[in-house]
Amino acid sequence: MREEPPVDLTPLDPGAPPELVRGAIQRFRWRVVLTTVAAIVVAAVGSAWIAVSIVHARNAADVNIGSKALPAAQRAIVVSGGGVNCETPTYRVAYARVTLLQAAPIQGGGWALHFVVDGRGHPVAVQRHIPDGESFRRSMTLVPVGAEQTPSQVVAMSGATWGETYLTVPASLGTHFDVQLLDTRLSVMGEFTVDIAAVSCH
Amino acid sequence: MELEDVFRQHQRAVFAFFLRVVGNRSDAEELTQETFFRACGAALRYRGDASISTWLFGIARHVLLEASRHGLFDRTPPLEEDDLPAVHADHDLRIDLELAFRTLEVSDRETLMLVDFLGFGPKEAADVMGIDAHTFRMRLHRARRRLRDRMEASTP
Repeated sequence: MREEPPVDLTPLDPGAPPELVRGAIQRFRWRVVLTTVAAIVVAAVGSAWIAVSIVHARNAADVNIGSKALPAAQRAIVVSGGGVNCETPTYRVAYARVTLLQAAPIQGGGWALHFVVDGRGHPVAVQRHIPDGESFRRSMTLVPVGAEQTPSQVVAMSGATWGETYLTVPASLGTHFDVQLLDTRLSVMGEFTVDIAAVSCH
Repeated sequence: MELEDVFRQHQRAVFAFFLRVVGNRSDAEELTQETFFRACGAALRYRGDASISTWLFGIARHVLLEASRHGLFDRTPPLEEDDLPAVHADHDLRIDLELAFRTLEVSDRETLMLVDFLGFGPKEAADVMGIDAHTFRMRLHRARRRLRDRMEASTP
């Protein structure tokens, strides 16, 4: 096959075009600027969203841990809205006075009791020192008779003459039970009887 | 040399290519600008494997294909007075060539512009069009013949 000779197309030359390169380069620069700004905005918004999510997650975890950290008795009283009792009886045990402030049923059975223990001049918590230089704190303790596995120490600063504690009483003891008060040496000071029915609101 | 200067050296050729293939000045200007816009982005990836003109017309051809997919050739290009050749003395010959050229298929116009107007060799032009050199030679042969036939047919 004989190759077709070239055609002279120079008459098709349209001449010099208008300026087009500068416009294209300016458009490209604008695109780069806009893309960069958009990328920065997206990165900033994304980072902020991640940071907020992390803070939220941490706060949620803290609240969760905090609520679990509450003793069962304290939690029950908080949930009950301040207890079911209308009476706040005070019991005399040796030199101390023990006042029942709040009583509330625990979900699943048993009672939660909020006590204030007044040592009437005697410390309810002391700091004990042992020979090697260590020390520990010991407080007066309440123990439900018949459920010695759930003692509750009075919360107080060392040397304080009063403090408070939340006591858990198992369902097996019913609504009428005895509670022992132990001093800071864990010696039994005496006991008193709590009658839930008598202190409840009627 | 600045990128802008390099582009400016090829501006006339790119514009002429689009104008003769598309047949419409405003479309040709738009496609030329789009080609240089894309070339700005592609410049970082240019490794010098091909000549700048081959690389640039490769981009131009992509721009053309995309525009044709968006219906660029669905309308008949109008014959504008400004588009007619202005450098040759023989006005009738210019008109005949212009009219005959416009009756060709787009692929024939591309093929002829690359080789017989822009001066690409068949191998380079084949690279620009993304086909092998043999196929391109066949296409070029047929395009030239068709253009000649139409010019002869239009001559009284």
